[in-house]
Amino acid sequence: MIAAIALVIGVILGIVFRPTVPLWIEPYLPIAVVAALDAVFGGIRARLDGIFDAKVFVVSFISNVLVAALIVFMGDKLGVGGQLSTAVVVVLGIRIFGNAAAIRRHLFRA
Amino acid sequence: MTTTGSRLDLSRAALNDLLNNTLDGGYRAAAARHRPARWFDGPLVWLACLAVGLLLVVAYQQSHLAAPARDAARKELISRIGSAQSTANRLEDQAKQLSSEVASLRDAQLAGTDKALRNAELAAGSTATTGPGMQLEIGEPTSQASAGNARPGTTLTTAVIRDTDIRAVVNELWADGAEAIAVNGLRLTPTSFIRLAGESIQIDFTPLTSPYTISAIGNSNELQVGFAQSQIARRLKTLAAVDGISFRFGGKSKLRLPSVTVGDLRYAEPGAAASSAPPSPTASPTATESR
Repeated sequence: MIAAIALVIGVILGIVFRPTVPLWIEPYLPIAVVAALDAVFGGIRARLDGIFDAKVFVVSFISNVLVAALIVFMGDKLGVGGQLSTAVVVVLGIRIFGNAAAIRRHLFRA
Repeated sequence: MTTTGSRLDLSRAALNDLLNNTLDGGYRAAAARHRPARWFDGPLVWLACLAVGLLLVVAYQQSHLAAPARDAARKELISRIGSAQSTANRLEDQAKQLSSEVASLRDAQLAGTDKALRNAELAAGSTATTGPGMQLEIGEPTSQASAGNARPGTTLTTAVIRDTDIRAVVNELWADGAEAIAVNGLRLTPTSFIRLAGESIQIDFTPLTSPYTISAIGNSNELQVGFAQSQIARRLKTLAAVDGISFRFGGKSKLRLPSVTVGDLRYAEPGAAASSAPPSPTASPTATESR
């Protein structure tokens, strides 16, 4: 509950202050969002499973975002940025779907 | 065989892990350790969620709010093109006016009217001219209109009429004895070219749009008969029947063709016997550039 409020506050802060990001970060933002969503869904599922751990959540969030950005960065340098982005999105997408299915089972018993 | 088998097993295991074990392994490991909750756990999660929210909004703003800026830049460029074009048009008008001024001053200086000079000017297209002749109109099929509302930036590859068609018509008209020709109000000169650039037909760097109106001054009957019997007329008739282009031509008792400003000739110099015979339009590069 507190986490959800924090998320909403983060959104409001972003809307109010409109932080400008450096241009070189821009290509990594979409991938970072997918990675962050993966961490969030993983955290929610762990919470519902009763094994939530703050440290794991925070570390997985940060490392997910960084690793995803790093892979895309390397791909850009090697000239296969598009393909590596696709790979990251596919893997994280599968995980998000799996976690979302687990959360659904917890919430609706279906 | 064993190595490939084990490799297959490995990739299968990795896929299984990816598909069935979607939860971060760290959670289970941490739960097995039974670590007691610490005071900074709450704020840490709070901060991370704040960061997630911020990230979502920033990413949204970057991808959606940056679009108007791009649009504004595009509009700015379009307006710059428009103003440059209007400047060019104004300069062109000024050049025409100045050249007509020069012509009238020269006429005042020269005793009588020099027939050879007149003919040369006419052939070069530097004076507006009137006379009888024929006019033909070729238009892309009307279904082109539906293709026209495609997304901007996509090129239309459905154009039926090519630059070679316009060129063939012009060459045919020169060959049938036309003395002056204009396409969509653009007078053809001995240095004119008709070519395809991208998807548009250009005459002297000015892009044309369908329908193409070609006016030729000359003996109206000869032009019509000659053109009707030509190969290009047959081709255009076929195109009209098959692809649905609009194609019609007919004689005109009075046509008025505009003048163009002829650029400076840097290499060509008048020969000694130039005044004896005015250069015939059929010798123009447009005509020699036949198929």
